Amino acid sequence: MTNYEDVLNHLMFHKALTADHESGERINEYLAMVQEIEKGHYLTLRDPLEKAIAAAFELVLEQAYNPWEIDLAAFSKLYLEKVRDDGVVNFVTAGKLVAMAWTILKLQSEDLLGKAKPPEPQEYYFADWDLGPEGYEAPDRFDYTESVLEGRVPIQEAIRREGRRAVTLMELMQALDEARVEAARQLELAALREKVRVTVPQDFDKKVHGEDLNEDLAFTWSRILQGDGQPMALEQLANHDPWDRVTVFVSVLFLAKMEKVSLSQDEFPYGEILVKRLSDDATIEAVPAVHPPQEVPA
Amino acid sequence: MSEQGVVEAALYSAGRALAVEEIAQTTNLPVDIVRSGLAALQRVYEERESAIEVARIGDRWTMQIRAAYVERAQTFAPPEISTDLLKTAALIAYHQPVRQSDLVRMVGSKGYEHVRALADLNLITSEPAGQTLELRTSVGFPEFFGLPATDREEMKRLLAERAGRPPSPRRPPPADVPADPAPSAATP
Repeated sequence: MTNYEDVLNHLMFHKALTADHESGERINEYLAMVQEIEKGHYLTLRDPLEKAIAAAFELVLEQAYNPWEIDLAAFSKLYLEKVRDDGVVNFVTAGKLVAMAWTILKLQSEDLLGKAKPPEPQEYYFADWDLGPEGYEAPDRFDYTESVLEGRVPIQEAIRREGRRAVTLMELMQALDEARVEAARQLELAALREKVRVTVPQDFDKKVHGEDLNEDLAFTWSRILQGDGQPMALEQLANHDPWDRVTVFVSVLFLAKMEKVSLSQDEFPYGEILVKRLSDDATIEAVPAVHPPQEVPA
Repeated sequence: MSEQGVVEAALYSAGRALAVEEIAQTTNLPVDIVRSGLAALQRVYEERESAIEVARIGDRWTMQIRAAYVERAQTFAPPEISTDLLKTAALIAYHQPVRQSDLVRMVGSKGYEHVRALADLNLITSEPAGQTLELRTSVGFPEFFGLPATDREEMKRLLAERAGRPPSPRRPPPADVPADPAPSAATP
């Protein structure tokens, strides 16, 4: 059980005993104070100076600082000056700081005591190994701690070879050879890219993206309407210009989707594609513009 | 090329302590061959009175400068930690588990700084114990200092001997090390 719990239990016990309303209220205040303290060192400290003092104390209590590095007298003076200036004392905070200061003082005292009193000689522990008939007898005067502190240090850093080495000539040659192969591959790729760049039409992009789908659909549909309603070969709808063939092919796919025509093929995959008109409408409704998907930012 | 030589090459190249299984896996040698090779190498280096030793640290093996030569060799391989810090490390290793407050009583207030430094080097571990910390050596401690002992009592005995206590009988070697390994084919 913690000290806080002890205090809480004590107060609760007295509260239960008292019949006096005023005393009960006072005990309630005490209970609130104790519970507030239990929440932690910093939670109730809002004043920057109090917080700073508590933080310094806390560093010692958390073993980050030597207790002797804290000048308790200076801190006390600082806090007293603050109380004088403010004219108000928060007893919860003051109590908390005093408790911390007391703990530090205790640590300082223990430290001092340790220095004043030499450590007790250590008893040697002999494990379960067999000492045998010529068993070892520990000399009475041997003190490990003293021996170490006097400079007889029983350990030293092991020295091992670091896992590094120079590059061998063979490795260097191999690396150069790999670099040569890679350079040749890059040159070959560059030549291929240049070759492709020359063969691709200069206005390729313009041709691809500059077409109007609705215009193409109307154009293709007008050709289909010229037929007698019997299935006709896709080849008949286009001339020999590759771009015209592509335009007709794409338009026919859209028309099929719009159920204006039906498509069939006798032999897959190289058989002739037949287009059969399903509608006599003179015009085709416009297809809404399709926006390219937006790039998703990386 | 001898199998023992392959094991020796692995130890030399690694520059750190290796488990038998690790050597076997890396060199594609059977575990038994690696084990007997290590024991033979240890004996060969010892018989040659070489400044280099093949040492066993717990269940791992390493190739390192023999303790007697370390001081001379430090000119070329400066140590990472100071003698003062070594003393503190030696006290923790001997008295472990030791409370930080007790350690500070032994070495003075610099003990706080030493504890932090040794913890930063992963040589010790600390656990809260009331208002103070309880300190122990870490798993990496014996390897860092090339100590053949890994359990607490064995380490304590070894440190005491090195600090000046007359030597005491040693434990018999672990069962997995052949008492009389095969003669060495390779020389270091």
